[in-house]
Amino acid sequence: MRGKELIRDMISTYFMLTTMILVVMTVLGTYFMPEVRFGYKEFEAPLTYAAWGTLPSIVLYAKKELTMKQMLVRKIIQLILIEVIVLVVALPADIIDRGNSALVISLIGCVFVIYLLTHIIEWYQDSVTAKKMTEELLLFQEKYKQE
Amino acid sequence: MLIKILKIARTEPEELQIRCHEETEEVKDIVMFVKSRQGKLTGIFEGQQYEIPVADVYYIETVDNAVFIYGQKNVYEAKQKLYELEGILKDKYFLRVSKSLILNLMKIKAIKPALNGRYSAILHSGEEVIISRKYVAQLKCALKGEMF
Repeated sequence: MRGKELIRDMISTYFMLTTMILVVMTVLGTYFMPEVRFGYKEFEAPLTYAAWGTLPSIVLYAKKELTMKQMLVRKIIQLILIEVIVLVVALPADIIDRGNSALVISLIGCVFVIYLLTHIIEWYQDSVTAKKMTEELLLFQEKYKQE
Repeated sequence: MLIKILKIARTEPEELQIRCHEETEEVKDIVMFVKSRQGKLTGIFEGQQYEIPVADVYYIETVDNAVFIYGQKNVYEAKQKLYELEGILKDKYFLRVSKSLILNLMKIKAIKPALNGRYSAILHSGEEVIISRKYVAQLKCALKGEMF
């Protein structure tokens, strides 16, 4: 991924993460801490954490086009870095109860599930496009082979 | 170098003759260009110079500033730059699919996803090459016949 693509991706990832963090906070909060009430100050949290979560996208940057395996390895590194950043940012800031291991594991699990789901959806959409392109390719080859 | 164009009768075969004192690099480049326009590329394999029919070329790639022509079995080194070959081959169903690669669309067997909005082209030779995200829209246009 090149510089411009990376910046464009980081911006879209940022907004996607902001939404997802809100979803995770709502789901986990409703289950583990339903009594907690927030003030306006807490609205800053998803914006800040999304910015932190966007940083690991830098590992996808490469001057040369990455092979499928290289991209897969970098995606795994990106996921690990996101998990680490979420924990490093969330634990010391007392956002989550460090003593509640179920909550910590749920948080790690949520990040993993969201990351996986995002990629499954992306892969499905790309597969549909690839299938359509292959069909068009065969028609193209048939048409121009005759010339 | 003086350039003369002599129009001949349609009954006579067309011919290009270069009269030179010595076969310099410049002369070789001119010959290579003419051959490529005629559907043949010049490539070097194991020190020998070969003429490769364009239809037999799978893809052309730049690796560490050197340009390589990939055929069914052999890989030839080309003397031209990638952008020069791109210009020569644009009417012959070749398309740039990444910063360093131009691909013969007639040699693709199938296309599949390759993570991050990129695609992978599976060639009839069994090889796979990455189609960069930046060039996907261009490929879609080409497959619809809008570029040839």
